[in-house]
Amino acid sequence: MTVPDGTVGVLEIATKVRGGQVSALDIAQAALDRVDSAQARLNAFTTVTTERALTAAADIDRRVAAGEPVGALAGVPFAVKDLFDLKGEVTIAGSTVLAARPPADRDAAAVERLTRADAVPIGATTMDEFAFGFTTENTHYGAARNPHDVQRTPGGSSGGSAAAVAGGLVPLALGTDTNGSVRVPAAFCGLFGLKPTYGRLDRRGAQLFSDSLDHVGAFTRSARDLGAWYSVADAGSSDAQPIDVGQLRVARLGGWFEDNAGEAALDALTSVADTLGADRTPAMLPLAEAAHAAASVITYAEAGELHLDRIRNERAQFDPVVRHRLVAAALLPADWYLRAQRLRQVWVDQLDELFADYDVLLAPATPFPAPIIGTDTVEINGRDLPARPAVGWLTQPLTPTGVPIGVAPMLSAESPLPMGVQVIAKANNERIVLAVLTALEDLGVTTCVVASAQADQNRNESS
Amino acid sequence: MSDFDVRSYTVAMAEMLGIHLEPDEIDPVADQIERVGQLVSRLPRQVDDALTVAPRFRP
Repeated sequence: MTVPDGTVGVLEIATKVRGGQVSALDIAQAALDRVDSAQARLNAFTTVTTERALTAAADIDRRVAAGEPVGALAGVPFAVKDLFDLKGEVTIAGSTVLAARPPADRDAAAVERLTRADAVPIGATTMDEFAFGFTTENTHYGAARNPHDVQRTPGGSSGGSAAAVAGGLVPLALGTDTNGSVRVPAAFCGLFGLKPTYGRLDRRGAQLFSDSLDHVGAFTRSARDLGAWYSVADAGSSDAQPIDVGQLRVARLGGWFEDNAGEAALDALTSVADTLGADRTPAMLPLAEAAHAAASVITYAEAGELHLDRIRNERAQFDPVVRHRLVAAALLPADWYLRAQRLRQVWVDQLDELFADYDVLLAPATPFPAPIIGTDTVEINGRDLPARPAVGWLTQPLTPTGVPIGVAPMLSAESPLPMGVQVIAKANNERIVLAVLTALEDLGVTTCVVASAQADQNRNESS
Repeated sequence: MSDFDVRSYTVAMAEMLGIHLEPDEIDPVADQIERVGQLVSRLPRQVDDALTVAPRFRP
């Protein structure tokens, strides 16, 4: 019985464990070994749940041997962003302030969905403090690193989760997306990612950041694996009717989404758009720049309110990068927040008008590939952009609409660094997003590879 | 932002909310508020005129 290595995905592991072809215990131990050996290189994990993982896996093996039923994701090792409660562990959300809290007395809802399907939690992953960032640069716990090039950021704020999947440590990881915190790391690490419709997935047991924008999401290395996660995560989802991707009306977003995208981002977008037969004329959303501003203002105001007591009493413990942002966030005039929320509804209506003509909209996920950790500015189209906030410029405007968005990972022959393309559908049409991602994968347009330590070393030696 | 002394606002608002800012915190916090204010200036005025109801949201 050969234990699958870190390149094997969710569905293959589950099929082999359910069929008794491989031991869940061996799978879990191999994942734990990979996590341990990669920690110094990737800094992907803040907590490893060794005992729980091995106990759960041994129980799955026992049930398989006894002929008892096991779940759809039996034996699949998974990681969670360290803002999801894991029973018996302290949920720190990338902070030291929360490290003094008692351990969680039950799993977060998103974790429960997975463990009920017999997936096996391996641990919690590195993130920006309180999810306030796009690069997973964390003063307390160190920066998570991109497995494709460890000098570069994996994106954030779910960067540890993305690094864990891209580095082949686990085939599945949970993240959250408030302004792009699943979509940005998916793009930078070359993964499939999904942010389902706002409100579809239960956020109980997750440390919130911005209540009206926070979404639960996930990363995998194949579109079908992403679909397998979603079917477990959202019990209300239906895949009764197959989607004919060839019949979908597709457009690429122009204006803000092209003006702020570099060459590599536009090349990736064109590849996907041409494959899907997108209209030659880009679809326009004139309020995109305003929506970007609204998302920022809403995020600040809601985060400031959420953390007000800690800002008063414990801010000396905050990450210096986050501290001033959060204090400022608590002080914003209510007028600003209300103006942003009013814009939001007009923006939703504007997007809805486009969905009268199209089933799928496309946009780059990030303006540029993963920057070197610590980069302050990146030049795009002759302009110097502030690297950290600009990472989210193409994801952030879309979040206030709450629509489902997937990321198609793209690798080109010209660059070793992945890019991502956002696949956007109308609210509650996750199955359209997943069908498009699957079609792109089947056609070989998207490419997702496990980034090995050896490949990373070779790249750095030759550069 | 021109009608708005951000530094004075920062000090006064923090005091009102019970946030006792150290002297070296005031300018960085005021800078952050200034940055958010620049974003607010991108929110078109006609949206306020067109939609005067309370914020509502449906995805």
